[in-house]
Order: sequence, then structure tokens, then C-alpha cells
Amino acid sequence: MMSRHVVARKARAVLRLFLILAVLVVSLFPIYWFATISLKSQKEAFKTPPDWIFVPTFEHYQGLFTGQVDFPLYFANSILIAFASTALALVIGVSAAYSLSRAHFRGRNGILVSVLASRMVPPMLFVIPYYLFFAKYGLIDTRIGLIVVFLQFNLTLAIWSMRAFFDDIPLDLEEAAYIDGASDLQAFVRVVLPLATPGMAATAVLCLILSWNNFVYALLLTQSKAMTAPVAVVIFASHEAAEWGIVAAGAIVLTVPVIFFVFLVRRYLVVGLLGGAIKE
Amino acid sequence: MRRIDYLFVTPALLILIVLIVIPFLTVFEQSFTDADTFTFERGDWVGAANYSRLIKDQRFWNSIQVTLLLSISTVVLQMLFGFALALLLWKPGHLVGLARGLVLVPMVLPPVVVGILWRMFFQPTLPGVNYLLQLIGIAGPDWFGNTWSALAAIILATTWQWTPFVFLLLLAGLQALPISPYESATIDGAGALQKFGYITLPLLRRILVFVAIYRLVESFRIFPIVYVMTSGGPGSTTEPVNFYIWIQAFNAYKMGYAGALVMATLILLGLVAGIMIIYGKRSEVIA
Repeated sequence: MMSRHVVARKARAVLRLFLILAVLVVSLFPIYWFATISLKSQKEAFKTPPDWIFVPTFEHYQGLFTGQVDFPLYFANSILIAFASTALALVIGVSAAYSLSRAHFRGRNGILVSVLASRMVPPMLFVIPYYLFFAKYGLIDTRIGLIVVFLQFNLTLAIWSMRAFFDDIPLDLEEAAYIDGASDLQAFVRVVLPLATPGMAATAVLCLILSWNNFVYALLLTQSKAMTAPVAVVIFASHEAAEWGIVAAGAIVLTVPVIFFVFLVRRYLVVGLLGGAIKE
Repeated sequence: MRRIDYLFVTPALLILIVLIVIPFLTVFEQSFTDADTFTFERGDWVGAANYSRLIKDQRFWNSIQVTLLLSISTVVLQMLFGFALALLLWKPGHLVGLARGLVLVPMVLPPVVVGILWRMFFQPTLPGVNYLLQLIGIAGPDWFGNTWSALAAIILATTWQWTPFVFLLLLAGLQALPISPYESATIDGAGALQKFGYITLPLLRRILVFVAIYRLVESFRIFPIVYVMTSGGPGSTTEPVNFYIWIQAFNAYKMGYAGALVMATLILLGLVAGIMIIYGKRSEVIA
């Protein structure tokens, strides 16, 4: 016969398992439901009660890439703009973060605090002047314009998170390099940068995600040629007779690269999401 | 400063000045003019007219209320659910490893996708939320047809997306807790609830407050989810202040007035952040 103590422990374990399953259902069922809409014909999608088991159709996914809207272009724009802006942010941000970590000059803390504060300001502050500037100089609906504007969040993220990584690299290594006759630049490129590679990779992926997800800037500053995938999907969704299947398929295609990126940096997720707002 | 530092800092500084400082000053200057969106001229100086208009603007104050309601309610819910979830998945057990990964999925979806997903899930014509409610005998409302249910839908979608974020940080906090206080408490015969109240909660207080402040500041930025789910409707009743600024700047083309709205929002945001930082310092939660 089991003692009362053991029974109580078993009951708690079963309750816990039940709660975990409930949490998983709440987290994942809406996504599953959404995915089924993308795999059903318009008529099937509206059917109540819905079929949970059905023969999937890929017509909406095909429609995305062969229909009248130029989704492949928007998808390619998203990729190009995200990678270009991330590359720029890294080249400029990593070197700046290194100097901000090593050199002590007046205004250094001022720069760092403004970088952090600017990340908390609602994007509406920036989007108005950007729009005016873009309209005045013919930059509306250009990829290069969006690449530069995305530096507002990418460069600040790169500076702030890379500085945290550089702060953790001990000075001794550079000093040893100087004794061996290395210049400042050589010490940075040959000694410090290799050690900062994991940090740079994590920062790069986070910049890619932020760029990929950006909606406000892309919505306002593009029209067709330079439009990005998130804006295109929202425009599908806002048509009078929205074809839910295509909208859902577009949203899922939009999500796949992000899931992939996140998987790459899952170890740095906590630090990265905070944009280095706290150091561990 | 070494020579290399000038070389390294200057480009970044120039870009930050162009992309952040000059835009800020532009908006500040514009908020004292009647600039509009079509003519790219500076607009005529109108003094504080935009600001006195703003004080009497019902729609502005409604948008502030909506922002506060959405921010506070979603942050409270995220903290409660996120903390509960972190406690649930703290110790090892069946399915725990798998669940720790899978519950993070909503957080990594693009905000636009979260908005579209929940807009469709709440759509009465599709067999989503209302179908599930009907299974348990409840007639679901036309979610986006009236203010309170539309707000509830936005709150639910936002909470669903960001609870995993709170969970992730609090789980990291729980896992870093020292074991010895728990061991001594067990020897002294403390129950699970006592351990939670006297050990876990006080030790986690700093990180709890930090996460709440962080999420609150982030939640003031809410835009894509509202844009996709309700577009501020019905009417302008679910419109947060970011959305109203957007309308003034790009639908009503009142750049000057939109600038004043931005400045007022920044002041309110600074006020909220300032109060919390002072409170945090006084209670020694923030270093």
C-alpha cells in the first residue's frame, strides 16, 4: 500500500503535467489553427465545424509566388535590406563599440546613455522627420533609403551589445600584443576581433531579426519597388475581400526565416533581446 | 584617446547625429509651427498653439488612456503568467525541457504576424475563437465591432506574444538562485508556500521589477498589432497614442501638430520612467 505522502506527490506530478500540456496548447494551438487556414481552400477555411484532418492544398503558397502581387520581389527586398543594414551596422558599430569600451574621453557616457535612450523612444518620433527628408530628396521607395534608416535601431543595438562583449575581454591580451610591437589597429584586428566573433555573430542575427520584423519605417517609406514582405502581407490582409488563405500563407513564409535566425542564437537570446540593457 | 579611436567613433557619431539628434530637433522645432506634410517648407511659427490645442484634444487624451490601459494591463498579465510559467517549468520533470523551448515560439513571431493571426482567430466568420466558445456554450461577440471586446482582443494577443519573454528572464533568475536558503528552510520545516514567500520572492524582487519596467517601456511602442487588428477602430476608441500621431502626421497631414503630440508623449514617457526609477532607487531595487 502506498503511503499518503507518495500519493500526494504523484497527484502533484500529474497536475503539473496537465498544466504543462495546457500551457503548450495555449501557446501553440493558435499557430496550428493559423497554419491550417493557409493550407485550406477559401471555402474549406470558412467551414464550421472545421475539419482538423484534411487534405492540404498548397494553392495559397503557389499563389504567393505566381500571383499578380510581386511577393518574390518584396521577399527579396526584405532579405537584401536586412543583410545590407546589418552589415553596415556591424562595420561601423563594432569598431565604435571597441573604442567606447577602451578609450575614456569626455562625453563617452553621454554617447552611451543617448544610444540606450534612443532605443526606448517610440519610433513615431523618427518616422516623421525621416519621411520629410525622404520626400524632399527623392528617397521614398528606395532600398538604399531603408537600409540607412534601419541603422537607427541596428547601429544602436550593435554599439550597445558589442560594448558589453568588449568590456568582458581582458586588456592584458592587447598589452601583450603591444609589447610584441603591434599597432593599435593590428591589436584590434588580430587579437580582439577573433575573441569577439561569437558576440558579433549574435549581434548580427539580432540586427537581422529587427530589420526583418520592422513594420513602421517600411510601411511609410516604401510604396512598391522597395516594399518589404511584412508590409506586403499586411496589405494583402487589408483588401476588402481578404483571401485569408493567401494572407496566412504570406505570414507563415514571413515567419520561417525568423525562426531559423532565432534557432541560431538561442544561447544569446536573453542578453540580445534586452539589447544589452543589463549585463549578466 | 588614441588616433584609432577618432577613426572608429567618428563615423558612428555622425550617423547617430543624422538619424537621431537632427530628427529629434526637427520635430521639436516643427511642433511650434503649422508645417504640413505636403510642402516641405518649415511652416510658420505659431508659438505654443499646437500645445494648447493638444491639451483640449479629447482624441489625444483618449489615445493616452488607451495606451496606459493596454500597457498596464498587458504588463500585469505578462508578469503574472510569465512568473507562474517560470515556476511551473523551474524544476526538471516530464516534458519540461521540451516545453521550455516550445513556449517561446509566440515571442519570436514578427509582430505583424501575431496581429494577423489573432485578427483571423477572432474573426467571427472563421471557425476560430467564437467556434471554440460555442463548443462550451458561449455565444462569442463580434470582437472588433465594439470597443471593449476589441481592446480585450488586443490585450490577449499582446499578452500571448510577450508572456514567453517574461518567462525566459524569470526562469534565468530562478535558475541562478542559491540552493542553501532552501536547504535550511527545509530543515526548519518550511512548506512550499513559505519558501516561495520568504525566499524566492525577495531574492527575485530586483529582476521582477526590472522586467516589469522594461516591458512597460517597450509596450508604449505598441503599433503594428493595433494597426493590423483594429486600425484604432471602432471609431478611434482603441487607438493608442502612436497610432494617433500617425493619423495626424500622415492622414491629416498636420506635421506641426503631430510633432507636438510626439513631444507630449515623450514627456509623459519620461515622467513614467522617472517615477519608476526614483521608486526603484529608493527601494534599492535598481542599482
